[in-house]
Amino acid sequence: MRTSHTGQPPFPRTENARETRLAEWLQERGSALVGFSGGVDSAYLAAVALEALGPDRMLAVLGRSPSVAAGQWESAVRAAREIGFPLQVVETGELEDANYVANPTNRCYFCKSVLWDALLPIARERGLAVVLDGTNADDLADHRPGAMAAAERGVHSPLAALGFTKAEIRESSRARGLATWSQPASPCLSSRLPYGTEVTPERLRQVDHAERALRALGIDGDLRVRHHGDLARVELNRAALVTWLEPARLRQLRFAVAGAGFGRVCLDLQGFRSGSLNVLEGVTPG
Amino acid sequence: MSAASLQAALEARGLRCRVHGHDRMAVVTPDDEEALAAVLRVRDDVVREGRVQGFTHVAVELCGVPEDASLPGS
Repeated sequence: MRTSHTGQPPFPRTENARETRLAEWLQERGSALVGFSGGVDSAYLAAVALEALGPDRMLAVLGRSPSVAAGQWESAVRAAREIGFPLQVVETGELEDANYVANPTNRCYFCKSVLWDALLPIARERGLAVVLDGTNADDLADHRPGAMAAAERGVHSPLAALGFTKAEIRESSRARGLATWSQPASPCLSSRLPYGTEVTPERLRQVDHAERALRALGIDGDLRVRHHGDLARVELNRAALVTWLEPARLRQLRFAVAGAGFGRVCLDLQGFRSGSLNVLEGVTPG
Repeated sequence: MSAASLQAALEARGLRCRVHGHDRMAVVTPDDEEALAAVLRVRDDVVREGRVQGFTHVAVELCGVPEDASLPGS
């Protein structure tokens, strides 16, 4: 029976073959740095790495920049504290990269290049054998230019390689008691800007402000405020879309988003769609 | 993609609004709150009409509220 590396009582988890294989994979490498975003996948990976390797042979590193929503960063730090793995925070400078700021369809390639170029030296300094990201098997079908940046630098994606689906990661996280198990996807704020619209700190602050204001109204689950210049397009998840169609609530919604500096506010009639800006721009996976 | 054709189609359904195109997104601007409510009641049909006209996204502008309108409960 697999025991905790630290000799402590095993962290509450479900015995499943894939997770066992993940722990074995990690132990075969001996040590690891996990690129941590605070999301479901990287939190799970860091938790398993902590159990398999112990706190002295793993490190999670969280990138911080204006493209990360303030709430996302706070919850990431909280998750790390609750799970108990060592965490280092680094300021990433993707907004200083003109290629990134131009916001091309492969913007994520430049973002991840900056991220991994910041994390790889940390792994070397700490003597950590491998650098990992939380890419899962479902991600492989999406448009993910950032994956190329990772592959170029030898970053490993063990969750994807071992066939972990998003659903499995959520279930395994839930079994472990991780608060992140039910967290909605939280892509960076730059994803709210159409390709070709320059990424600026001001625009990122606008979308962050608008989304936080909508959350403060009590809107849970997936929601996005897409930035179209003076016009904000709000995507609500299906349940919220039905609930928020009452006139008084629409006034609240408009007021909240307008408070972020948008002159016009509109509501997407289809609601939240992951990658909807890719659809708008005609960008296909691959 | 034709914003004018979408507007004509919506007006034929009795919806009082203007339509502007932003690339593949159609922005439907109702004349007032009553017209907004009417659009929202048939939003699935509005989206379908939008697709027929080549739009991938259809959004309705939240308008008709005076700038100094008070919020419920305030």
